[in-house]
Amino acid sequence: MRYWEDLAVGETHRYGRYELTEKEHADFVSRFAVPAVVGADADAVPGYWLCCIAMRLLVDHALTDMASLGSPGVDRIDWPTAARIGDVLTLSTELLSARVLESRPEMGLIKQTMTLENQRGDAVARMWTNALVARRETAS
Amino acid sequence: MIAFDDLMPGQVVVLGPTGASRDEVLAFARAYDPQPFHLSDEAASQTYFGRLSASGWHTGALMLDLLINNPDWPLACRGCHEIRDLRWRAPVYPDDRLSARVTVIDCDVPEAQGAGRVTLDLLLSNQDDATVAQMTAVLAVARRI
Repeated sequence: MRYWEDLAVGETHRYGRYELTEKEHADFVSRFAVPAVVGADADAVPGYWLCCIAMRLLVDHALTDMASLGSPGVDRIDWPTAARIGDVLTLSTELLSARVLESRPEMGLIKQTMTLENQRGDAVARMWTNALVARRETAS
Repeated sequence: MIAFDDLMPGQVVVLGPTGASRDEVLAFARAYDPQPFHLSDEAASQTYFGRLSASGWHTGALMLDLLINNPDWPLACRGCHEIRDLRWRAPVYPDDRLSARVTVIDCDVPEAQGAGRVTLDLLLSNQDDATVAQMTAVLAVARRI
């Protein structure tokens, strides 16, 4: 299990392989009307769906082994390149900063970028995220 | 339709209610956020959440759906530029009644393809008037022709 003390600012990871399928897309957009990405073609998939997929990759590959305490939020999200059905996506993360919370010394706040890339290496979603991670020395 | 030309900074509209059933919370979590505390009351009881609560990404999808797909306020949205300051402030539980207070922050000069750039703040509250989430959405909204 990785705790706050085990994280190093600057560390990068690449996770997974997630293919965008018509079936899953149809299921998502039938449940949620979310906006298209500005300027994207009609066959591009909605950007917010990509954020949900990025979260799934993070849970499967990183959070299962991390003393994660949830997230207070995301500072910014954008979608530089359109994604389409059939694209195969990989998640890249980079740890930008880590600090202990003065008000909650049993945990640390990390900021990291999450970038979802297509099979050509183009960024289809970028997220500047925050997460709370337990400190080893105060974990019971 | 609510066009770019109908919007002015300072305007406020309240949209809702919306929410998610227990089955919907579980289905979303299984698909996109299968952390134990989003999959069972038992696992959640050990955490800050206390009992089964919705993934923050599910809550965000509900906010966007309320904004984009709303017969009471049919915004002529042509797309999203970016989302800023998405914040999860308190847990969203199954069958909470959520409403969004939308404030127009900024309306920029029109851009390509007959749309203008509009910045909206969304504040999502539950049935007890507690703020559960917020975001700033920068959208393209069609102009009146």
